[in-house]
Amino acid sequence: MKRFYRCVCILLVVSMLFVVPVYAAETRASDYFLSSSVYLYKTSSTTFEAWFDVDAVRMMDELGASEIKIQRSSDGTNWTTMKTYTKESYSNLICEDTMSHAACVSYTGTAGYYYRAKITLYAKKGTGSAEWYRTTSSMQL
Amino acid sequence: MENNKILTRESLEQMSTKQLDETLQAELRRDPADEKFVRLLLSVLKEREAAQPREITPESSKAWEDYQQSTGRGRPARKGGRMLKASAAAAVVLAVLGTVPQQVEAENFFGRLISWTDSIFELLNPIETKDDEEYIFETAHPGLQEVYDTLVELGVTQPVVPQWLPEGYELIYCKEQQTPVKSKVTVSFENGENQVSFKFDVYKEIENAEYQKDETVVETIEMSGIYHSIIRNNDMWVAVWVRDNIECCIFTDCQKEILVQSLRSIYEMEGE
Repeated sequence: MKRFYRCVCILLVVSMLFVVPVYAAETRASDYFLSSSVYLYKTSSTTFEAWFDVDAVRMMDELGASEIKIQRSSDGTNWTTMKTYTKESYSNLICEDTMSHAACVSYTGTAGYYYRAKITLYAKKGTGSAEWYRTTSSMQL
Repeated sequence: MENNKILTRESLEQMSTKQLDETLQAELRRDPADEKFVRLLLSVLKEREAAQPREITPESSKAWEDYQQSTGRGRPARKGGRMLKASAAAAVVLAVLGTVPQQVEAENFFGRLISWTDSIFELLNPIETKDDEEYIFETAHPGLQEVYDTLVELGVTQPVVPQWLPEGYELIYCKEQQTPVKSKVTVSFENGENQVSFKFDVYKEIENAEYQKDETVVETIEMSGIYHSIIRNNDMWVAVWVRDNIECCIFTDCQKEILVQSLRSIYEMEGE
């Protein structure tokens, strides 16, 4: 019995030598999205637009953004969500039967604060759908 | 790396090239990277390289080997100085990150930085003046002619549209869009089974784009002084490149050979 346990231990040690480290990298290849860009565009001293531009690899039934969160920070590090736009409330966020869609939401902020947008890109084809989470660079008003 | 943001050009200029490289790579690993800071770093690096060209280690990348093989050591000679312009444009391909450093591949030649991860390929577009060389677009394909005419209306006269597609492909989709930073044309050709699609982003202001990709290693093909990155995204082959202020993309679910042949047809009149 002792010999059996010794064999099991040796086998365990040997098998550990062949363990390859696996990193928890998020895979972003998809059958839906090709590319995207997201950014803030200042339209006045306190107003900006949060833009997204998303491309699909083929024709989609629906393509665009399902949600845009406008976040504010006083130090550029700690962020608070100020407003959430959803595709249910803002129909321009989604386009039907398309391979590409660009749209924006407009927001009026407060001078001196940093702003950014967290954008959930969305694609739907048939019964399947996918989301892609993007964050804009921050911008100080 | 939050304190990077307080670094000025003067303080960056005091750093060694190695430190600049390390700072750049560290910044690129942030999610999201600070684009202004990245541009500042690249600008300092570019000046540094212009003043004192450095040896670039080729070990890590097949793309670099291919480049050396096709052009020989050093700057290749180009007609009309296009390569110099392309190099100066420093087409920057960034991978931004959120993945482990071990997965990052990176290259830097003549001011052009390429890096990517297993999952993301990002393109930070330069704004550059147009090429003055005359270019004649010739195709027997009415759909391709339509795409070319659409781009000409947007002021694009550079060779970016393929002049060849396989038999049987018809234009089934064409969409033009305008945003504050760019004009955009997306088109798709289909033959009933497969598709070949193009996307052209004509930039007025610099903005960056991310492309989805799988774990397949990014390949670089040089044609007419332009570097074309070939990316795999599941069943799609995707070619991405930048010419002046135009970000160009061809993507298809056909074989890679179809993609490359379409790419080559862009430059047929340019002796490629």
